[in-house]
Amino acid sequence: MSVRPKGLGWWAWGAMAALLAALVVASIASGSVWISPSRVLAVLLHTDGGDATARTIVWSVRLPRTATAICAGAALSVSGLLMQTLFRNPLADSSILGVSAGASLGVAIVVLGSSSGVVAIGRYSGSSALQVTVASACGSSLVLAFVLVLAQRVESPVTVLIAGLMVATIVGAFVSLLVYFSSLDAARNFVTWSLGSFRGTSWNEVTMLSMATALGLTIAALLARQLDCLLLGDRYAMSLGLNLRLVRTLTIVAAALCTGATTAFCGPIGFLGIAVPHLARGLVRHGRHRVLVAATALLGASLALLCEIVAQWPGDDRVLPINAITALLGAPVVLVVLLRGRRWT
Amino acid sequence: MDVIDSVLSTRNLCVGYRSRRTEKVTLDNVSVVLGRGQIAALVGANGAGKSTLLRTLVGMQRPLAGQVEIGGRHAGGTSRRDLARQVAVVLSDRLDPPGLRVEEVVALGRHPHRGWGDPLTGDDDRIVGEAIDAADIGHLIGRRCGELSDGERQRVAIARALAQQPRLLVLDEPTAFLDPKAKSRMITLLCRLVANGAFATVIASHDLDFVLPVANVVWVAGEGRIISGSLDDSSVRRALADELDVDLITVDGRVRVASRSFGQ
Repeated sequence: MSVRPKGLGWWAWGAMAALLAALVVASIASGSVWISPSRVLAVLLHTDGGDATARTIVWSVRLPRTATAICAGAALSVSGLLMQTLFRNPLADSSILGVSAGASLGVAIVVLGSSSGVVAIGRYSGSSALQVTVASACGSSLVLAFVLVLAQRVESPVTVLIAGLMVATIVGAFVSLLVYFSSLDAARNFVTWSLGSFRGTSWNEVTMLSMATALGLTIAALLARQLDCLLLGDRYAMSLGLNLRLVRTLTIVAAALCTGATTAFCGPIGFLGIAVPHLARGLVRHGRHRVLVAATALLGASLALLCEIVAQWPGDDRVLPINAITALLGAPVVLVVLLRGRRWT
Repeated sequence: MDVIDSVLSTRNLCVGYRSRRTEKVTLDNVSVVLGRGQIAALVGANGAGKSTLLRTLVGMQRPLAGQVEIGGRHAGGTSRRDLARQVAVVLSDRLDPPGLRVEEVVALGRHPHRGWGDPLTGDDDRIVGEAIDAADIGHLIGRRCGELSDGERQRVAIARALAQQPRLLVLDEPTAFLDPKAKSRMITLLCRLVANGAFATVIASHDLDFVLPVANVVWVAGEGRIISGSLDDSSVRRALADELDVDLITVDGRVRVASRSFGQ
């Protein structure tokens, strides 16, 4: 019998890619005005000369929204995977460990702290888009590093999760204070942003988000074997020659980039990060990060698109808050993990 | 004792913990030598410094003074990765990597031998296959580690260590949590591996019945020092009696451990 660890069959990758492609078309098609998939394809493939309205809607509204959802879904899910491996805890995730809160604080300081307070969140200009991304990534990496230091002092994974929640609460308190002392307009913008949304991003912001996501995912993919070693436990990982500090730092950077960029543009979005890695492990029945990182990114993007489509049911004008949808999908996954005694899928 | 082909040697090694203000020495003047194909049993009461010594030997902790040489090279000046090509460990930590299959865990033993992006080569496959055969876990290929019994898991840990192709194999309480049957399989396995292996082995254990009969050398830790020698040495027997309250008796040509307090 061959002992070489097997990868995932091409059909499995094909199925995941096809699912994503189908959801991309469906997400572009759906919205307050229904654009049929064939027209969507025609606009995208530049064969449609006459349909100016559809072209405008697709290129200026639907495509940025879809691209945002893809990036956010992939980034949040992979950052969840990285944190679960880093903490060797199946319930670790950016919203639970306070990493999203850290990102929020970064955003709040830049946006609410700016003297004018008129920078409307979700409508950043080119330079402020970069500013907000950097601030947000800094906030999230600081919190993540802090929680990791805490985690090395306590044994129990549950204690680490509760400590993370407390850090999130403390950071959240600072955010509330900032909101309280800011102008009414800025505060209103901030609250709207904090509900979470994949909408209203400009191409400028989509570029920033996709670059941060691509960088985060690339680091995660390059660290695949090192992350596998981390799964054995710190002492085993060290005995395999791993530079724990370097690997941990790079993992934190990747996770913080992913969470930070997403939070900057879409607001704090919960549950994708915790749910998707478990879905991926269950679906592809694989444990190696070489497979998991890619599968988690693909499935995360798909799930985010699905949430966005559900949030705006085609033909209906109302838009549901995205966090409500992700919670409905994600919280049951957390419950299942808890009920199985915190065992990994 | 003459040791040809020394794999591990320490000279005036002093191990312990150093914090900003204080220095706590647990074992001092440790000078031991271990050669290829030899098994050293490291025994001693709790807190005698066994773990500290092991951590220092495998390079997870710096010595307070003195040095460790592995394969004739000063271990302190070796990078972590180079050291991982020389030294492999089996710990009492439960090996429970979520989702990883047996052969994937064993293949991680090749990690220190591979560059950042290197794929597994045919050679790696062969070495992993041999490690799996040697640890007798061929029937577990394809299973996830989470599904295995403690004894099976520990044999996977041994196969992973063998795939590292070490000169020195260090086992820290390898039989903790194992039931008697798994324990006896483990003893047989270790004896066989060391007999035809190209490495030296250090086993730290509280389980004297397990570790003493298979050892060529015994290191007794206690009172801040290591008494080293063969089972026949009177100094070793005295140290065992002092530190662990046991006598050694030979029954049918095999060494047995008898508790002193039990007989009185």
